[in-house]
Amino acid sequence: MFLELLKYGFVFGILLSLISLGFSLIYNILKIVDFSHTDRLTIAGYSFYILSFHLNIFYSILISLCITVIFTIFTERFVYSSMREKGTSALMLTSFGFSIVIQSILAILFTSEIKPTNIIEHAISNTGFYLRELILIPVSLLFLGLLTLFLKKSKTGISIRAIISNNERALFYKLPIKRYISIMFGISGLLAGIAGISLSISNGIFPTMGFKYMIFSFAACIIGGLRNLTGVVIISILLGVLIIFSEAYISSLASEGMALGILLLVLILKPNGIFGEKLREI
Amino acid sequence: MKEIITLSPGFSFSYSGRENYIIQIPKESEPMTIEYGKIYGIQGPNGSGKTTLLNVLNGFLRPTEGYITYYNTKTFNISKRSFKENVTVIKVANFLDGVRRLFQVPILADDISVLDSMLLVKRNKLDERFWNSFNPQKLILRLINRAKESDTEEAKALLKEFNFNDPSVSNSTLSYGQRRLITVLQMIFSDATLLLMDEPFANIHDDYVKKIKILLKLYIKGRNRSIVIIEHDNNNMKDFVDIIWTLIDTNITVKENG
Amino acid sequence: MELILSLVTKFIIYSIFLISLNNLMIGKSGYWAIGHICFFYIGAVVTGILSVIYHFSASLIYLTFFIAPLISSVIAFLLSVSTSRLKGDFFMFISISIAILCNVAAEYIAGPSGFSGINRPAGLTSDISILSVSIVFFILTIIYVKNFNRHPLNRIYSLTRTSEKSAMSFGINVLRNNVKIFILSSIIASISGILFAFYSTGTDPQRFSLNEAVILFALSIIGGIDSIKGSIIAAIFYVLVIYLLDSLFSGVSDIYATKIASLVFGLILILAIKYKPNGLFGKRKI
Repeated sequence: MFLELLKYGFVFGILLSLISLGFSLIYNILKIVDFSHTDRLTIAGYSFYILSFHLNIFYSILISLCITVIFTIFTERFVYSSMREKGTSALMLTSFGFSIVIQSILAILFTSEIKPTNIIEHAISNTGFYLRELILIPVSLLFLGLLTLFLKKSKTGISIRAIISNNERALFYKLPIKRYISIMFGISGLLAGIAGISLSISNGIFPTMGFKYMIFSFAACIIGGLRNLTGVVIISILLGVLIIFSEAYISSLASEGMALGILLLVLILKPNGIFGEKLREI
Repeated sequence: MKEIITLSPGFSFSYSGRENYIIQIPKESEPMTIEYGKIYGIQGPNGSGKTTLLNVLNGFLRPTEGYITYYNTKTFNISKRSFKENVTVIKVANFLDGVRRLFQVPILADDISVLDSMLLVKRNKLDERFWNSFNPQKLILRLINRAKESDTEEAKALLKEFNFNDPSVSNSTLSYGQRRLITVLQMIFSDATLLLMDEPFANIHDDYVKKIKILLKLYIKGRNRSIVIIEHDNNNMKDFVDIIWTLIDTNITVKENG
Repeated sequence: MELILSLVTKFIIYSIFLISLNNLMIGKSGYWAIGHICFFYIGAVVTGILSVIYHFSASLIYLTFFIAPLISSVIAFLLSVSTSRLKGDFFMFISISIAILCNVAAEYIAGPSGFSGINRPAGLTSDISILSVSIVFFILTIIYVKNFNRHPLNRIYSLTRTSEKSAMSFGINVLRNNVKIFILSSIIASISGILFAFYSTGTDPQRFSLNEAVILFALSIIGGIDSIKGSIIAAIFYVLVIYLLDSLFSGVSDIYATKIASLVFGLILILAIKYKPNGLFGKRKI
């Protein structure tokens, strides 16, 4: 039981780290908390749900990932980019409004009840493996590695890190920020898509499924220190294990409360996160 | 007691903690003081830590080594912070009530009038009690007998002298230069013990600069007040400042003017 | 006649809530408190707990006017202390999370369909009497807010919104001021929640969900931040739109009415930010 839970927690933590990485990438480039980030999970989940009726599983995963990435980039291009000059508070209110719009459209189209997507999983579980551990976890680990390589080695990646560390100086060097913003949104959409499909396979889909993960990934981002991507991944995995254990031994309500409790505690004791460097205000 | 603020010998400040000192006072030198009735000018090349020094004096930043004393009360001593010294920090907060700071970029609330932002400086603590906002009677009484009108009249006169003929106009209609002027006038209008001003004469018309200088001289004359300014223009320094602090290579040198 | 009475009562109660959100919370402190609806909910749910679970008698139930504001001001205090650390979107997030937690906690206590059959207090048993109490409270709130706008405190909050650092350098205790305004607006919001619970004799969780929080928040931006006229017009608009949607979809499904309402108001929020950041009557931009 304990080992089983530990394994589940680790898997959940990796998925959580995908979400929180996207979250912190967007935070670092636009300096906003993107409230509609976890709706990309929902979009990925629903498109996977629809496609899996018609297509083979690998194609449906691939196509729904494409849909999520395109949706994410379009969100940035057509909704966010025109608001950027109005300041961060206008932008985050927009992202909040947009999230509500997406959720209510999905609820109107598909009703708000939980749709199970575990049909395929059962087919595979006969052989003793779960789909997400077989395919999605290696895939997401691969993506995490690729992302690290991309940010560390490639020229675009280095520029993006430059933007993360100092937005204004990047403007000064005339980096093509608009393109990089699109790339960042694309990456975070891809990560969210993987996490979304994987979570919808095990937990089913419903229009407001993103919100719970929003709380967890936000907590992970803050605790890990928003600028420190490694810290975010480590904390996400730890938090994932913790959440699975508290869900198993207490209740799912307790896990949300606990995540928020830890978050508040960290904000009071170490406002820059455990791994975050100190930021000056004056 | 002449000193308002004393920076101890061996005082230093750095953002990172240990090395990379931005401001330093040698251990063997005299303590640096701010005394009543004097105007202090800070000069130095760009990036030499002038604004940082002002932030330290303002209590926004704590010294890395050494200590600052306000009214001869030692505070912010990082190396030996005890319970007793924490108590004095609270006293310093009271003291800092009497400090007004002019920032390099003018900060004015957009949705209040010019007159309101002047009155904001000379605050009446009793008027600002939150419970008073529940009591319309008090407000009406105050409107009728106009007890506090002297402040308003004074502010209006000061504004008129600098060509702000309509004091009820909103701050959002002002240009950058006018905003700067208003923030400087706020300083003149205040009743603070210590004014910390970051380049008060930048972006302001020469005629006004003369007037402001006279008013600032009047501000400290015969009262327990003093002024610290950062200034780039040597001419302004010469005829206005009593003591010059020069910041070069993290070291502060103190020199009498003239 | 009954319909008009119910619409007017709802309008008055929502106006009180919107004034506490728009003119005090957002207008004075400048924090985007989307989760402000939790205070409304606390008012209603505490009344439900006292009446349904503890069976308070019709005269004893007046105690809710003390207990609910007390609880909500404790939560408002915690929230306002967090402002010393959290700015902007971080605060927005914490505010939403607290609203969600209150919602979940209330569901745990009251069950998924909320309380029903709340006793009205002695002397306030008819709809008209509740309406008149609400009107009295509404007028008092408006007088207070108007008074506040002329008070020297107003300019202090104005400077604090613009720059906390500048306010601190003027000797203003920013945190203490935030605590005061948060507690005050939470008390007013919880009283509107109590009135709502007494009027509808139940706590329908639909009326306190996150969707509803967004709708009310969008309304205060549409009406114009820190504008009393804006809040009142927005409350009228809200009551009418909800009534229309409810009567349109009353036979079809519950989801449609609420979801279409939140879709409409979400779109209005985005469009208002884009094309009319001042709102209808506001002077201040987002």
